[in-house]
Amino acid sequence: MMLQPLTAHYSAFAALAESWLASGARTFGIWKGQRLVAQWPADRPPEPGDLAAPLLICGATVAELRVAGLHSQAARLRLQAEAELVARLIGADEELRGARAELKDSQEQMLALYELSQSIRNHSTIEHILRHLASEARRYTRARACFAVFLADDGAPTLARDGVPVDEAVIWQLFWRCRSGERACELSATDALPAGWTNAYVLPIRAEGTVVAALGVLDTAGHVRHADRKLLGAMTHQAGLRLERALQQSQDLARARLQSELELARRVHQRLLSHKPPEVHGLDISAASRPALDLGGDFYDFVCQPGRPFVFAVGDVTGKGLSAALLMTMTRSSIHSKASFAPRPQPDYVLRNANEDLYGDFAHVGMFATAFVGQYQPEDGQLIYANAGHSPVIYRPAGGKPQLLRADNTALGILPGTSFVSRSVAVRPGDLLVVATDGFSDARGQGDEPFGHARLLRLVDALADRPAQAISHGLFEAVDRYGAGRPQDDDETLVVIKGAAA
Amino acid sequence: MKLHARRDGTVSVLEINGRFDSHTAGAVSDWLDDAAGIAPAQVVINMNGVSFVDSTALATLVSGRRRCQERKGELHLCGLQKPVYMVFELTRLNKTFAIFSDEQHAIQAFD
Repeated sequence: MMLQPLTAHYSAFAALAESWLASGARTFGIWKGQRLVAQWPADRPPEPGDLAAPLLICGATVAELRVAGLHSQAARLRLQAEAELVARLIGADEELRGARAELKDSQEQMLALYELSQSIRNHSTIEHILRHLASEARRYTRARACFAVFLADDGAPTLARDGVPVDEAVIWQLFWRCRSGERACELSATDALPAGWTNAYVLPIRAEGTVVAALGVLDTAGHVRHADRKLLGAMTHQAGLRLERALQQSQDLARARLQSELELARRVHQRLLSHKPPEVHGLDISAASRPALDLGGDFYDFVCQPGRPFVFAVGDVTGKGLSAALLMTMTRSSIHSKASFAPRPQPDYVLRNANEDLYGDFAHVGMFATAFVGQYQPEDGQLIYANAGHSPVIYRPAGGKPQLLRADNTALGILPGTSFVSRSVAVRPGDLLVVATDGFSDARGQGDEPFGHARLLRLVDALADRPAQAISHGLFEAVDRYGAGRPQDDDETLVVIKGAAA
Repeated sequence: MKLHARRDGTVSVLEINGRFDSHTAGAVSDWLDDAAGIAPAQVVINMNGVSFVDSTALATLVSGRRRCQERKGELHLCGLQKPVYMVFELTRLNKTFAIFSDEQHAIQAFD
């Protein structure tokens, strides 16, 4: 204990001195070891005194009361009793002061925590949260430097520093030490603390149960007090909760972004597949596509330009969803550009070139695409086609039996550099060509039994007299009925071409 | 779908039973990955018990065959039931794959 409590009680000592002087004492003094602190009357030279009694506070002698000029046993006892009384008084006073200081400390803690939670509430990014945590921690502990660091799942770090800049290597060293131990650790200069620092206190910050971040306090004056540890613990807990929420929000944001990207993709996809069939003299055309998921691998396309032959394509990329849709757009545009710009867009030529375009990419991802390309020759009512592994394709001549047109070529992306062949069928009035995708033939009924080719052939036969649009409706309806409410397994796409009365 | 895998000399054999479609192709693809990695990458797929194949199943076989060929091996198919063989015919994959009537022939063809 310093001299401060003695001077704080100066008037009490003065009153005591006066009473001793009145009792005949020459001087009354307060001594600390060999040093005189105060003496009454003030105009006399320092006098060690004849009687002495220690001021014992908390077991330690903080000073001595000394009286000169009296020697009696009564005076000795009186001095002792008074020293005890004064010591108890000062001790009680000190306790009160300590309690008051503690109260102030805890008030400051509450205040710091409140301020932290208030300020953190306004910050939603991880960087803001960390920056605030570091600056609040430093403000409260009066450390020379503070840092807060966060490590994302993907290894991306976020770092905030306050006060004297701490070297990043030091921060990571402390972070990993704290993270591996999963609890707060205190280091001093002897504990392999990097040069230039005397002490460090590092606390883990948890989000959803795992240590994702840490708060470091470097070079506080002396040890980090128990109360400070408690506060820093509460601060990191708060920050952990806030980080948790920020992470959640960024995940939500990413999800929302993905959702809107998907929505955009879906719209592009729909745009690509909502082509109205063109008016082609001599043909009655209908087309429709229904993906199993939002996006699918099926497609159809028409190329109808003045002065060029009418070309159409139907295709199916294996698989479904976004990956299939990506490859679908590649396949569709490859076929489209060949059909649009080649001097003679013969179907076999279109498919051979599309295969050359696509083979590398398809082989790389282990997928393939079936495609049917047809080209109408109005002069003789023939439809020239090339079929790369596509099924089912049904042809029914007017008044004849429906038949499956087998593929003459392997699907796109299976073999490099193959040659393709074209064939032709007549599409004179009443002749019917239905190019579907396997979503129709593979559609499952209640007993898991696929719709199958035989049923499809019978259905086409029964619908054959109707216009193209009605045939298309009839086919979709029949497959829906067969599925009996079962969710669609695969994309279903259909192009119906019928020879129209001239 | 049920899978039975076995070895016959240098040949890895996989017997598939049931529907072979987009829901079940993943397991076959995984097995093919492993089998193509075992030199000399000779693989037989016995489809005697397969009732149905869809385009994902076909893609799985195509890429499995490609993986075998990359390692100087080959993939043979055998025991295709009529409806399944028809799908191969319709898509012309019967011209791409070496298809055998039964497992014994498919294995012997590697000699």
